[in-house]
Amino acid sequence: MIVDNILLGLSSVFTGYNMLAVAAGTGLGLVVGAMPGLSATMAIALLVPVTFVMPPETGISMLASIYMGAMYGGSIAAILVRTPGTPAAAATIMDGYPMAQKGEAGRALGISLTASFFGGLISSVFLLTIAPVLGGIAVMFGPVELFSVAVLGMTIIGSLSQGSAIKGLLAGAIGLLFSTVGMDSITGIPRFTLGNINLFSGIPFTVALIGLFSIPQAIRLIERDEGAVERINSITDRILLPWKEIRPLIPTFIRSGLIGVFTGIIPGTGGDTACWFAYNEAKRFSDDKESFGKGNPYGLAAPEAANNAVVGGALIPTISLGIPGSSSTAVLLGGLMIHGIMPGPTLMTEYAGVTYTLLWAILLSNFFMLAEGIVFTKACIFVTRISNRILSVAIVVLCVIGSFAINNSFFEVGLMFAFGILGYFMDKLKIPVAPLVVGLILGRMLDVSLHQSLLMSQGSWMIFLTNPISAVLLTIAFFSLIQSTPMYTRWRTSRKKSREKNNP
Amino acid sequence: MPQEVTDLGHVLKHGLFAVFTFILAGYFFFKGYSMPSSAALFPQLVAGLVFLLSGAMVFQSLREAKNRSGEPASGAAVEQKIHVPRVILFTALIALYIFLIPRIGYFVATPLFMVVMYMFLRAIGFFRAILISLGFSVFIYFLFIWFLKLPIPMGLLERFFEV
Repeated sequence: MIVDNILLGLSSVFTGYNMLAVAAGTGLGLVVGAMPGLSATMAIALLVPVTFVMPPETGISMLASIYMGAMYGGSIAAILVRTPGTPAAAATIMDGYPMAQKGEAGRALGISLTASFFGGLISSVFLLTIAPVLGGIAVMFGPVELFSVAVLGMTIIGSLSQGSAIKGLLAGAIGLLFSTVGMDSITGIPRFTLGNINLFSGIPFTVALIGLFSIPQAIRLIERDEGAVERINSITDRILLPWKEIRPLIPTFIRSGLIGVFTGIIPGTGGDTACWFAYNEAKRFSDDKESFGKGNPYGLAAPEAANNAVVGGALIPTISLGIPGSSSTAVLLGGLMIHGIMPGPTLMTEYAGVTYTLLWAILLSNFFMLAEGIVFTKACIFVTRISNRILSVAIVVLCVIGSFAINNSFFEVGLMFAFGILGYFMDKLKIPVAPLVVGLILGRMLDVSLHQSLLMSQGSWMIFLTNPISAVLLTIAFFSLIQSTPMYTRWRTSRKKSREKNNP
Repeated sequence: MPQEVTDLGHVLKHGLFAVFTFILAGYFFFKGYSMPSSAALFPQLVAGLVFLLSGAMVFQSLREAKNRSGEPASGAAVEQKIHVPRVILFTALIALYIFLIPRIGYFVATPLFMVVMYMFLRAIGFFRAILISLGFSVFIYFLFIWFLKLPIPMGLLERFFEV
């Protein structure tokens, strides 16, 4: 069955229309990623309405390719302008920019492109092998297990979000609250609609995420004066690297790729975590630690391989369990939802055609990224020069038309704007937005599975603890909560201190 | 003294957000009583969680403020200042743009909005602003009307597009 589906996806991805979508998506991601300050998540959110007219497998493949392309694109700005194009390219600056300063901008971009290709390839292979197996297990889950999986997803993404765990969990809970607006799936009565008929079908997920990810971004681009930027204005050397230069970097590609995959699998951690993790590991393994930060090729290869490997890793829980591993994959799930495909284990069975095409599209996008990167990287130097103020206005225009395009409703444009304002204030208070989006996605699944589980147990909550899978998942959720509390941090610090005292 | 102001602001900002989340959760919690218990269970549980976490967030911000007092100003304080009036006006212009689209039409409101914004932000010169806004509107026309067949309100240009 799994092999049949893999072959089905393979034949689907190689149709002309799908290949064109993957190529276009990768190219678009590359360009957006190269623009400093624009994230892959925002690009995917803005493009979701455009994919509405495409077949689901084509649309979702295009969106995923944007994600992959943007991960490499982010390094272009990091290397040339010393500003990460995406947050995942933050560590790329460390050795990428010094290399460019030495007149090796082309070589630096070549290493980044090759590392991104290898990282993406490793993660695609993992995605193609792990996701179907995990998905096969997940389809056996009933409402009790599904509820616990969703609780685990929420607690992990909340507690591992950057900054405070309380804020992450609060954002997730607000998302869950918003997900209850609209018709109740069990009783069929409208809930919390304020008597507004536009809210009877719930808060449109795509509208919310366009607002949450794009409006705050547009405001951030204009809120401060643009200072003078140090930049590299031309690339004089070759981007295509000879094999003898690539060969010694391969162990770093593999190690960082694996770091990226496993960091991506954990919900709540993404490319921004993986790139620093891989950078530190590359430094730890190196004999020449002193040269890190001064243009060491290994210091550039590691974060770039890791951030592209995150793409496949983050898609593993997204596809097999319906729990997004990062904000970008949450938006990808939104892309599926506007085609009427609900997240959850059924992605691998009922919608196998779409899902397996997506898995192959991720693999294919690596090859397009390599080809387009070789051809277009030099042209992207112009993209890095576009002023933030010009971009911010264009983003607003795209947000308005994009949110209108979903249901041709101006109410939804207003709703998008309201979510945008909420997102901006959350950003200022360092409350992460990603858990809110995940709460909005998982809310319905949690609500329905809770109802069904309590019906099965005739109202007893013990069903969640007597079911072994559920009990294990909830225990993990409990520990992920505990480890994010200040008490746990204090306990660890005091333990470390006492250990140091005993073994000076 | 400036540190105290910053810390007070830190607590106040979190407090205000907590007031918002309290009102939001309060609405969901109390509205739940007018619904069948099966429909109210999940939203009321989550609303309770929001109450709890909002309180915890305020408590945490108080602790952070207390821990920070006496410390030298951090790098964040040295960071370039946010232009609050610019942000407010930018946001107000977006709201006005959304309000005007159904009234004067998308392809009148959009170039107008872009030119006004570029002038206000002093991003580019007047003629370049007109060129970019017209170019962008043509791009939107082809993508959303020609390709996606989106029924965008034409407003003042309706007659022109019918011809």
